[in-house]
Amino acid sequence: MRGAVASDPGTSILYSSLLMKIILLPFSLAFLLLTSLAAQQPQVPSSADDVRARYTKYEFRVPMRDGVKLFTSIYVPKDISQKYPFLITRTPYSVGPYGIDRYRTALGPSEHFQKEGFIFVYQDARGRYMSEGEFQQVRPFVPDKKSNKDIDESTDTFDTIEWLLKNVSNNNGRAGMVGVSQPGFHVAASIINSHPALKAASPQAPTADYFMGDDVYHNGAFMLGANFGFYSGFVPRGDAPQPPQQALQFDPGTPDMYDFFLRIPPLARANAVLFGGKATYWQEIVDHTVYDDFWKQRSLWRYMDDVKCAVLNVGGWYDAEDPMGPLHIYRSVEKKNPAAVNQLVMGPWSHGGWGRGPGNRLGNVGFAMNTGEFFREQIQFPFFMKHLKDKGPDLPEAWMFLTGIDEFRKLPAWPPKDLSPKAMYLDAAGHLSTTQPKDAAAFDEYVSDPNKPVPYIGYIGEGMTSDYMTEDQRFASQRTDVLTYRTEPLDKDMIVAGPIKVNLRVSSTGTDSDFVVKVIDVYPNDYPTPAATPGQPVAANAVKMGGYQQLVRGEPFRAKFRNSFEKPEPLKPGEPVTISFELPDVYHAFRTGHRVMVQVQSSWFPLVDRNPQKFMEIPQAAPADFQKATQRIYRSSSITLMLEGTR
Amino acid sequence: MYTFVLCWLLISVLVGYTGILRSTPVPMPVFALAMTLTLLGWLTVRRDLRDRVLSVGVRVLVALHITRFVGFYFLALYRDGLLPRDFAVPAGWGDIIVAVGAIVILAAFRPETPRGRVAYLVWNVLGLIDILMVLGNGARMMRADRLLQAGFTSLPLILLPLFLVPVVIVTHVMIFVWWVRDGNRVEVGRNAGRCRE
Repeated sequence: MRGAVASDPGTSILYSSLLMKIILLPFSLAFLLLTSLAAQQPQVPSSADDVRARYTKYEFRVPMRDGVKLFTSIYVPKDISQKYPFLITRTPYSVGPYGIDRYRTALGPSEHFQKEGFIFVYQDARGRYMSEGEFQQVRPFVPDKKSNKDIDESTDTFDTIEWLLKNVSNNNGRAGMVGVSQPGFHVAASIINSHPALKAASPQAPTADYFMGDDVYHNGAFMLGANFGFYSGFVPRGDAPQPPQQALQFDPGTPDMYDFFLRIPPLARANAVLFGGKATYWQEIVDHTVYDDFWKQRSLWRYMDDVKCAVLNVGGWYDAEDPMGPLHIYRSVEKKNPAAVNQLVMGPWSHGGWGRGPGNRLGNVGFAMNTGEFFREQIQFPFFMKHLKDKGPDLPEAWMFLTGIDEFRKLPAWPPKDLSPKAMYLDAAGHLSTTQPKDAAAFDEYVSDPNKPVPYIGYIGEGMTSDYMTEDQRFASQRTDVLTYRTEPLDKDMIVAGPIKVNLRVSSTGTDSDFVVKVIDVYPNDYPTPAATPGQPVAANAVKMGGYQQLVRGEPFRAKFRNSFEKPEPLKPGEPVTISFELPDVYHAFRTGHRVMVQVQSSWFPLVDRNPQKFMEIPQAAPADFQKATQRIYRSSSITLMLEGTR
Repeated sequence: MYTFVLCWLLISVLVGYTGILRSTPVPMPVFALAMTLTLLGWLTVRRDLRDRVLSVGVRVLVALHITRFVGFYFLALYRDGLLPRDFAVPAGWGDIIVAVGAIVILAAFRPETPRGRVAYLVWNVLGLIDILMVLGNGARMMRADRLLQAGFTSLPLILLPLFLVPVVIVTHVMIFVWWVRDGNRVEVGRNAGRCRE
């Protein structure tokens, strides 16, 4: 029978057609059902559609004083019943999407701005993407300008504002600026000798000094983990303007970055070997290993003169990339422009963490409130409304989040003026003592092996995680190449504000070494661990918060820079030297029952590149150069905390 | 033939310069093997090409392997932290030994003599085994190690898989061809002599 059917073409087609209808029937019904349901639902516009509904996009090539034209996207409110201020962001990371018919999915630093109505201006920095000219990373400020050829980010912003005021209608004659990280640098650079129409600027996590504590070097130590991946993709574009190309970003091919970075070529050769010679910005940063003119010209905080606009400096206590930038800029503006409205906000955030999400925790540590939402609603938006639209209240000098107690506090100055210093000494038997040890010549020692460096996190992870600055340090306490000192449990809260001074007396059998100092908050052993998700089993390796050792602040110091960052000097093997430096500001409460802990170690890998423990140009170091060294930390070593009175 | 070799070298340089293979997941020795098999296939079907290669003389084919002193470069790269020990040291010393062997047999043996034929054959077998081991070891390691692979995707090391390794293997094979062909000629010659007697 089957054979007969199959042999009859007409019957076969009939059967096939019937079979297809039977198969397709459920799909057809489902399709009809879904389309009818969809017709009943209100259409939810995409974010880009929402922007398009309220704003009209324009693109211009804005001429600068030297004739170079910068690509600028402008979103103008369709509602012309009122005049609007400009809100400008200048960036080396692209203002895409490009094309007047292609809209961004959101405008401004938070949704409040888009709803309120501003003229949003996005500009590709000189030499990046669709802008003409030549890009320089953190372009040096030109203090003594002699002609129109002497340009910098300040002049480019000045010329942009001048052009906007003349060519974009319905503006209220005021401009604001906002940007995070390198765009934050562009903001900070723009407030120097600023245009009179620039009324409000918020440099957020600005790069203020690549060598002195921001992205690239910390006390002479190279921040490997943060820079390797970034610079493998952040490369010069071609000579002519062009939209973003496919990123070059190097694929390490493994999640184990500790192992990967142990095996990479010498840093000075990485560009040629791994990045095809195209990562010239990487080459620049590894070729300049001392605080030379290359870096000094880029130390923006030196030049913060003639600041006429209101400034809202924003940073994160746990910003692993630019922890010092906001503090550097704030202090410099404060010092050079005492009459300026210059405000500071520091919260419990990673790099740019205030701009996204609720901000109620970082890593294993919770903050008891939605700090990111609070910042966006109660600080950032009111600041711009006040200075660009004359609406809203004045803000305090400093809005500082007190970690440990977990609340924002309004302060009249930063650091607070009524602090009292408290020195703590690295005493015998791992004790952190408030009295100076009698035997200052006594010491603790450890062997530092750069071929088995101390990891910066206790698990397999990236070269730099965004939350390592709150990470548990118990894994490090267990190592023989980490010295650990701690107090007894505190009998009352201890609030530390401002920078932490470090005074180390050390010796090494090598001719150079790193000394990493970490200040840690040790939780009581009965500190509760948050409950697991209902219905989910607790993983055996889940972090237990009892006895948690929370990193509060840590910094490396490369010993050859102990006397000068310009002229490094070798250590004499075995000869004690003093190393003094500061850990960046904190505002942290060590609570009753907690302990203060200090750890000292000689590597922090791969966050920081390895020191071969031999005096040399470290980016050139070959495997044979890396040698063990015995490090001694003398009992006269101390840290000094600045304490605030308990409230 | 020389034009072809020159073009091939220039294309290899261009590929290295542009970096188009920088993110390839395919281990670079696979490219070397593909190139080698292509050349060998070509030589198999084109007798005239085979004859042209052999016409340069077996001593020239052996002399080409003196370039395997490139092994010292491997050792230097290992010293500088640019190649891992597990790859660089066996590959480097293996190539250096083969290059020294090439000089020794060129200086000490005439290929047309029976002792010379044995010496050339032994050296050729050892040289081929060495390069195939380097190739196999490299493929195994590069599949797992992006750092090693990255080194061989840009200049100058990219010239090894794209150019030098295929040249080395093809010349080894052609030396075998010479050995077999020349041996037959000797046999034919001897037999002919006997016939005349």
